[in-house]
Amino acid sequence: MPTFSRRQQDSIDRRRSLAGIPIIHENVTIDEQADNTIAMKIKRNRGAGFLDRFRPPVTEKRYELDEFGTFVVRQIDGHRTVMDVIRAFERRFNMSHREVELGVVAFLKLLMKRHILSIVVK
Amino acid sequence: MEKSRVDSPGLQSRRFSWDAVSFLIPGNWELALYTFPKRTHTRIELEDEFAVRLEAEWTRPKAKDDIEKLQERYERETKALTARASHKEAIHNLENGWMATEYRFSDGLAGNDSGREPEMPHWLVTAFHTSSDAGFFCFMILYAYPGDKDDPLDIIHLIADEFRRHTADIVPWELYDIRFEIPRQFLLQNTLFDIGSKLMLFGWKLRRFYLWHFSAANMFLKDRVVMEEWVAGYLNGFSRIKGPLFLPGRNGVINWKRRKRHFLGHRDEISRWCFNYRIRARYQRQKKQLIVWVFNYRNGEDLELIPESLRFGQE
Repeated sequence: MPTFSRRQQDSIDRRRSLAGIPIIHENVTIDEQADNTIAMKIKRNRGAGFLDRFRPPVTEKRYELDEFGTFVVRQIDGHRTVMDVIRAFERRFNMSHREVELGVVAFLKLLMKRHILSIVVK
Repeated sequence: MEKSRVDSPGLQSRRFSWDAVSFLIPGNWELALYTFPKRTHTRIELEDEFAVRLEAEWTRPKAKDDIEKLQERYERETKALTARASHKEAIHNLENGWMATEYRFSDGLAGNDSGREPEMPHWLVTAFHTSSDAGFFCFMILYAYPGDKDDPLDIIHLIADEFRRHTADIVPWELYDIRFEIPRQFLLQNTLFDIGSKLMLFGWKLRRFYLWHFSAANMFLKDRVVMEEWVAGYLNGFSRIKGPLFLPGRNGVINWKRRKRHFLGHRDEISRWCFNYRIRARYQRQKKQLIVWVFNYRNGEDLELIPESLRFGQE
């Protein structure tokens, strides 16, 4: 075995990632809107970089979700897995599994990039 | 050793139809990939929620010799896959001229000096089908893993028992949540499967037939949105059809007129010498699905090819 062998990364396969549980971060607030959709607000502290000094100490971002996004976020309760959310979406909107999976996973990834949620993989 | 079928009452199935071939598959399998590696070859991969479960390739050879060569070729190519099997067993009693072999792979720890990760135990079924007239050859590889709810033996029986070659003039296509029929001579040229919208583009002698299926159409056809207006707007924004300007009609009919800057026709139309369009739309309330087709044709006779099931919308 080579001395400086590359440390093997813990790979997450599709089965494990779909069994992950999405959890909304504590700094996110959810507002109900009049049209039965929701808006998500996230407060973020400024970073430690040089340019961040010119930004306000706390910035707030607001995201208004459509009916599809609202449904996905309402499914997130800290117990349901990504697969549970996909199946619920499939039943609610009567769409094929494949396109629901692509859509929901892409949406969850987007929320992760925006620091709104994390997915806990066991 | 002979293996017989073990009935699995819980196996939910649905038909998958592609390129004039159809068979039953477990209900949670979907198309993952398709290619046409050669002019006469069609290849597909089906997957469930977690992994690819079936690879299939079929062709319509011209001579019987070709079938023997093909069988040899596929057997040779799968040797790399099956060589490390710990157990091999022929599957008998398959319908419709199918021959299959089941390969079992242990955990891969014993004798694994390859330096690679040990594999988890899994199964693999290879299957051949040759038609009695020697005009069709199909090869499949089926993958099964521990924890699967369906037995691979049941699945290969399901596929073989209900395997159909469609030889009529109109052939069915069934995939995801869509089902339609189209003339045999319309060949699939391209697809654009997006979230909520599935476009399949067929070609026949330089004519083009665009077919869309929009899911959850009730979400965008609400609040007094008129279907024809929505469709016309969508088509006007669709970059691949540049010649005409689409205008909403009535009862599922979309009209069109030539754009001023392409008064002689767009170069795409000129190169194919197809200057006419017929556009129809229909909302299927029960499935909440909107079906739209655009046929870019040459003359009135071409319209006779449109099958009855797609002749909706009234002038």
